[in-house]
Amino acid sequence: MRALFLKEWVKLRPVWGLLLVANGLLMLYLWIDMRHHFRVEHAEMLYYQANRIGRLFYSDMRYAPLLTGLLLALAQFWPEVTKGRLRLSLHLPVGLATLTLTYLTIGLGGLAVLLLLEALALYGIIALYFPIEFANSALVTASAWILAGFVAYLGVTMIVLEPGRGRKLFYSVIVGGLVWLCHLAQHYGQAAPLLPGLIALTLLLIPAVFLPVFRFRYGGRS
Amino acid sequence: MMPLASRFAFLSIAILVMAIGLPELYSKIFSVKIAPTQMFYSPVHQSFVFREHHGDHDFVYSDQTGRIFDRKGFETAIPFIYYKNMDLWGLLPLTLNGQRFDLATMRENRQVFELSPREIKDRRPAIAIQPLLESNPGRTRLQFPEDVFRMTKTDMVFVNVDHNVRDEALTTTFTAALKQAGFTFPAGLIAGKDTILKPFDEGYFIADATGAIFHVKRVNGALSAVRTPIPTDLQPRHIKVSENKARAYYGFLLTQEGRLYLISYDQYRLIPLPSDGYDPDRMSYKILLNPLYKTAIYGDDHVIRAVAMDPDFQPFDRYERPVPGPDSTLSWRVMTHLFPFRLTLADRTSAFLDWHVHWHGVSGLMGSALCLLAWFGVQWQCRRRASGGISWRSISWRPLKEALLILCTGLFGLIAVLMIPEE
Amino acid sequence: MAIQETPVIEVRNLTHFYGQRRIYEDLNFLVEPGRIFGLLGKNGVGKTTLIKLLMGFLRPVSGTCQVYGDTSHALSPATRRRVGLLFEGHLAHDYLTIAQAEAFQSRWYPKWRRDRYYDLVDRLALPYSHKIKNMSEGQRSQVVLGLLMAQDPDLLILDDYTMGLDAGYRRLFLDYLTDFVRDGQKTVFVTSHVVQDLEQLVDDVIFLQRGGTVLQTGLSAFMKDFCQYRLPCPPDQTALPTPDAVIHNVEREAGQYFSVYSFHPQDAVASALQQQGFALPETGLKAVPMSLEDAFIGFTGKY
Repeated sequence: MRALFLKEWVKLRPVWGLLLVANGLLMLYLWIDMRHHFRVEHAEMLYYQANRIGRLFYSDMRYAPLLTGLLLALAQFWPEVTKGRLRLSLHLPVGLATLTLTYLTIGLGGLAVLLLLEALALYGIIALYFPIEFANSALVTASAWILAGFVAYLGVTMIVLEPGRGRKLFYSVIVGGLVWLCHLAQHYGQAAPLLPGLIALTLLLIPAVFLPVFRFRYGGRS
Repeated sequence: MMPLASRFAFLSIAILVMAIGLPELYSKIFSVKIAPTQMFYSPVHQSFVFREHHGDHDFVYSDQTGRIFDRKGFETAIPFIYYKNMDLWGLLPLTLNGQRFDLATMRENRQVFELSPREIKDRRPAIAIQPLLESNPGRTRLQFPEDVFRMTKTDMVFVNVDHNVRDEALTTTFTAALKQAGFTFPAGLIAGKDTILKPFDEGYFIADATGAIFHVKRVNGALSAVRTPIPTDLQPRHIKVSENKARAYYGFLLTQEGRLYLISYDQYRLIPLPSDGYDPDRMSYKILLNPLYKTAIYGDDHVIRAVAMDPDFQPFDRYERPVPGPDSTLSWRVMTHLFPFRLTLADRTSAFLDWHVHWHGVSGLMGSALCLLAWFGVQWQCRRRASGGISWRSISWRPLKEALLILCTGLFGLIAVLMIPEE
Repeated sequence: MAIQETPVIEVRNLTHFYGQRRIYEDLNFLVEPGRIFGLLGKNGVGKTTLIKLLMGFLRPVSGTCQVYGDTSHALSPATRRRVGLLFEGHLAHDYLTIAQAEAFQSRWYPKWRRDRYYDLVDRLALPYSHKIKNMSEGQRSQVVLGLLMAQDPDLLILDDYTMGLDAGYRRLFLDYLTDFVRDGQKTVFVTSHVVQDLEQLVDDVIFLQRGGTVLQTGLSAFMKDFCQYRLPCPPDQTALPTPDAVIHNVEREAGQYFSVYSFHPQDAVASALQQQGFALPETGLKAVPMSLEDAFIGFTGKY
């Protein structure tokens, strides 16, 4: 297992690093933007906008987790499938479920670190300028977006690994729908009651990934 | 085992997403909007009049006796609502019940208070940080202070907005003033209108740990806290403060039990409002006040109720009427046959998104049965193609669980099972 | 030993289609331990497909494949450990370096022979930190071969190892394969479209032809029974003899000659030709010496 971890890490390291830098830059921009607002506008008006009006000062990061998850999954599985390298791993003397879970653990782990850092940065930036209640609310709001990152990772993995075209399309539609649900809320805290259900659906995607993996492994016909 | 569980997992996700997406898509394409029925008590005809929408441009103006009005006839029946049109048509001043009303008296003596479910505090997300406006700003416009407050277990904590740090001095003096007024921490309900887009400021109504409700304002830089005589066992769920130039009522008070009151400027007296059959979680409530009558109107997608009251809020007439909601349209009926249920997230009555399941009952089951038939047809075709011939005996009964799934989830299940067949 | 009793590979009644296209129908063969088995066929006749079926990457339309007694689409990790698999195009985790590739692969195989890997790789004279993706096809094939040799598998499956390799690397591969099977316990299953390399190597061959016809035979028996006879083209006749029960194939040759191929004795071929109205040369029919490649082309045809 450690060998697989190392191998995947070597493979993902460059992309992971790039994503870390990209997300870091985005959060830096978010901070500069926030700082700018507080320099040119009255703080009390910004509080009013952030609370009663529901203006999201961090809405620029809305789709960042989605893109991060999507790119990470592509980096991990796209070349494996197009170059046929996945069969190398599938020939290793290890069970298919173990192999898949290890791959997913690495990907999800790497993604979790990126998104956790992003969430921490968001919390920090908001807490720098607003009372902690605003930071908490921002975290709840961004959780749905962050969840979209995991949905994108698992969903793109499914789509890439699936050998059949029709199914690829169907997976895309369903995963697209899930991603849409994660971004449905327009106001802070609006999606809070959705979160447990969205988390459950995201967790269900983990066993669902095995569906295309089995079909890939055993040459399922579309 | 694993592929089976995987398939089940994905089928569940697919069915769930489709149960949200397909009906949504359907109504985007086919649904028609039905405007809610409007109802008033006409001081002219002394009866309830209403405007009902029957789709497209078909609006019916009528009253409880079945009399039909044209639009102008309807509007002149409720002159306190359409007083500007009345003026335009040269119908003012107007004499009703022996009283004479001109434009100015009409404008000044009409008040409207409304409460919709999504305004109720526990039905919308909130950040529990508020500004305490200066109620005596010394100029025409209100302005935001440079601090905001939160109620903690022990203090009324002020935070300076420019530096995002706690203002110790303000926290200490305001907390002390609050305690001096008899306030017991921690606070319960905090209700106010935290905007400067209002004619004046009435601060906040804050419930304390004993259930007493305090009226808290910032006046000339100091805290003014008045312990109101509102009963401590009232258990308020929501107070909607609506600063209104007439300065007759602070606004609505809604109790946990769903009883509704107006809080009067006169000693914070509570005026009970008709709330028979009122469900604050589903219904909007409106009260129209004019010098002759007070009218309470409340309802949901299915029914609208109105109660007419005299100037002392004593009911003397009521009327109730079913509402032609969206479920009366053809596209709606088709939808309930197409899908056995649907999932919606947004709800008119809440500012939150949540999971709402709507079962379509028998009509939905009929749709499911059709889907099941279609599925059997597909199975039959596949098997015939595979084996060159088919008899009932050659059908394996293993797909029974798929049939059950389709029966329960209708079109969603059918699409999912066809797209992700068992291998 | 139980291992010796079960065949290494057993294919029974294998039928496979790609859509409507038949790849094989009712294919049967056994690979015994210690044998080198060659699967020959032109590009696109289903050599890689057969390996995918054997390794369970595809499910056959009907029939079964077994490797060390395991059904091919349910190969246990223990069986996979005994099989060294070279994928078409010398597939490798090319983002790894020479050292990383060895470190990764070594964890999976208890009999790992590190020395074999570095013996091969050192000849490349590249630093161990060199990434596989920056190598030439030949260099990469050496790394992959090194990994396979270090794994010390009981069964080596090579899918078209010659692809993209120049003569030197091909020879190197052959040398290693020959050494590999020397002790008699190892089994090799190799596919190739370059036939000449296999002549010295394989014991048994399967010829795969488009449309699913198959010939399975021992190499020496094939080379003994399958004969080529060269005849001059009659100047007035443009039509050549047509294959029949005796004549397996006829090919036009350069310089106004044509060749007749057959599994039948010389006189049977002679009378078959005469029956079709072709005059025999005065010297009579004479078998022409053939390389395996000649025989392969004679058997499968040029096109």
